[in-house]
Formats: sequence, structure tokens, C-alpha cells
Amino acid sequence: MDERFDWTAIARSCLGRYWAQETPAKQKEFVSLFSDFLERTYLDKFETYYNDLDRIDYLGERIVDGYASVKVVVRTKEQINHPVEYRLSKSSKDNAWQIYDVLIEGISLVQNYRDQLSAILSQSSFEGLIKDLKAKLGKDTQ
Amino acid sequence: MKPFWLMLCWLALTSRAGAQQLTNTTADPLPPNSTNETAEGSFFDPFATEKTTVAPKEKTPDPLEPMNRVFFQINDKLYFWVLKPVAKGYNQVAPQPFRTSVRRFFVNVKYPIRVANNFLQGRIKGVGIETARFVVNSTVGLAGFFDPASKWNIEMQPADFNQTLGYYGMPPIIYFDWPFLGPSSVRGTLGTAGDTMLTPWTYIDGLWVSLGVRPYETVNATSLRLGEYESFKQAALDPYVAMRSAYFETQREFIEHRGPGTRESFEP
Repeated sequence: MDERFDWTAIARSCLGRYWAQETPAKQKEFVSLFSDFLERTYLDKFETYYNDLDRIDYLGERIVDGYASVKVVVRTKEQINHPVEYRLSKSSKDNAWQIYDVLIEGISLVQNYRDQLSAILSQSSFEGLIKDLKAKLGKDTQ
Repeated sequence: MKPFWLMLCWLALTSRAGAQQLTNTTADPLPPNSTNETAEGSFFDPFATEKTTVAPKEKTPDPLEPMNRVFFQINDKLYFWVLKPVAKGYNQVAPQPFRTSVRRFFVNVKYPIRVANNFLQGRIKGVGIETARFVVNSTVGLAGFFDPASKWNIEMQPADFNQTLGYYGMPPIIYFDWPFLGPSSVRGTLGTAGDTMLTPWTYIDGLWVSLGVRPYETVNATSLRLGEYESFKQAALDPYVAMRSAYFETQREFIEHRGPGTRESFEP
């Protein structure tokens, strides 16, 4: 698992209020599946999308206590600019910065998934969600 | 929307050492909305601009969800069966620089919308900047096909009627996902109606011309973004909710001037 991301914090934040309702074992399973899903969805596609990249402009960073916000603008070959913001926090363990949220064109990844998961879990059970995640992961490996 | 794959660009280009080189610039005092301990589980984000204590149902009111989900499916099919094949064919015959220029043309021609709404929101400086842009791009930029104004740092001042309505306190009310038009709200639909009144081809005599321009603009814009919708779907666990959430979020940020503004403002 890519250590630049704080997968537990991300998964926990996306699950929102449903996190506290599950046992530690279930929480661990969710973190594992969900971060697997995120990694496959975004990071593994790198080769495909790298060819589309024109440039990345670094805009600046802001640090507040143990939190940081880094802003860049990614430009594709089609000459479209995409503002991206990374939010990081300092891990208490080894003082390393880890990403806890990514915002693309102002849309927080964590908040977006939180809204999706909240809608899914209001209709179906946690087990159903686990099943959905497994199915989605299974499909992606085909 | 070209979604979240972009983060991997940064990842590949910064080594671990690079990431740890975040220098200690002067620390800002914590912004006002910083305590986001929520009923949703404690999650602290000092950069968050919205209180996360608001329940999703309030943030994204959608009492017509069943109907909207049907429209979502319709739009999905329309994309794969109509828009995408047409845009792909168009890609074959029109080179990318041409299509990019066409997009700039359409952006330039919407100057009345931006100017009027900057004015309605009391952004007089924005009115001046937009006018300067329009003059420069329409002349030096050859009818708007090029954008020398941006190169000279005369930046676009995005504004539309939806933003104006929101600026004066109108809430979105409820969510709509219109066939063809896509995600919107009561306020958003009024916004589109207002903007259409300021769009030149609304007033062109000749039904075929005025009816043809908007689809052409859509095809051209899509041709530059092929693959985004597919990526978006693949990244979503519930694409309908993902789109709705993203729509409300971008609108809210646009109105509060915190977000990046409309897509157009970042397109050269």
C-alpha cells in the first residue's frame, strides 16, 4: 500500500458516522478493501494517463499546525487546466506527511465518497457494501 | 469531469523525499470553520470550508430522486449511444488545435453572461476586466479563437446567473438531473434560463442555425474530454450520488468564490 496516503484515515472519514457502528475487524476489512479500490481506481492507471500530461504547475502550500495544503494545476495535452489540492497531515509515528484528502477542481474526494457511502448504507447493509466493493474489485482485475 | 486520476501525476513526480521537504512556511492562524468534529465521526480538517455537521440530505436535497435517477440513466445512454460516437467521429476529422480554438470561441462569445452577472453582483472591476478580455480576444485573438488576454494576465472573471441568484441568497432548493442538460437545481435551471437570454444564438433568425449551435458546442467540448465520464463512472460506487454531490459542491464553491470557478476559467 502506498504510504504517502493515510488509508485508514481516508477510509474512516469516507465511512463517516457508520464507522463507529462496526467492529474493529469489520473496520479493518473495510479499510483494506476500500483502499485497494482507491489504489486500483486511481494509482494503477498511471501508465495510461501519463501520456496525456502536458505539465504541472506548483501554486503553493499552506501549513497550519500539523496539517498542510498543497495546490497545483495539472495541464493536459488538450490544454485544459485542472486545479488539484492535496491535504496532508503529519503522522505522529514517524513525522511523515501523509495525504488525507485530494480535491480535484474543488471537489473533495473524501467528501464525495462520504456522500456516496452514506446513500448506499442508508439503503443497504454494511455487508452489502463489502460485497459491492469486492465485486467492483473483481471486475477491475478482469 | 476529469476526476481523480490526476493525483497520480503528482505522486509520480514527487519522490518521498520531495514530499517531506514541505518547508515550514509561516503558519496561518486556524481558519474559522476549522473545528469539524462531527456527528459523522470525528474528522478534523483545518482547510475545510464547509461545516460537515450538515447531514447529506440537507446539503443535497433531492426529493425527486427516483425521477432524477431515471433521467441519469437516460443521459448515460445518450452519452454512449449518441454523444460519444459523434464526438469520436468529429475527433477524426478535426485536429485538436482547431477544436481547442473552437472552444475558446464559444467561451469568448459568452462574454455578455459574464459581464452582466459580474455587474449584478457588484463586481465592477470584473466588468472592466471582462470587457478588456473581450476586446483583446475578439480582435488580436481573431474573433475569440485565441486567448492572448490570458497570456497578458487579463484573467477571466467567471460569473453566471445561477451564481448571481446564489449570491443574493437563493438556495438551490432541490436537485434536478435534466435529460440532455445534466445536473441542475431549481436555482440552476433559472440560472440557465437567464444565461440563455444573453446568449447570442438565442436571437438568430433561422431555426436550424440556432438549434444547431448548442449541440455543436457540446460535441466540440466533449471531444476534448473523451474518457472523463467513463473514468468518473468507474471511480464511483454510486455514480448518481457522486454526480449530485459534486454538482452541489462546485456550485456552492463557485457562489462563495472559494472554488476554482467554472471549468472555462481554467481553459486557455
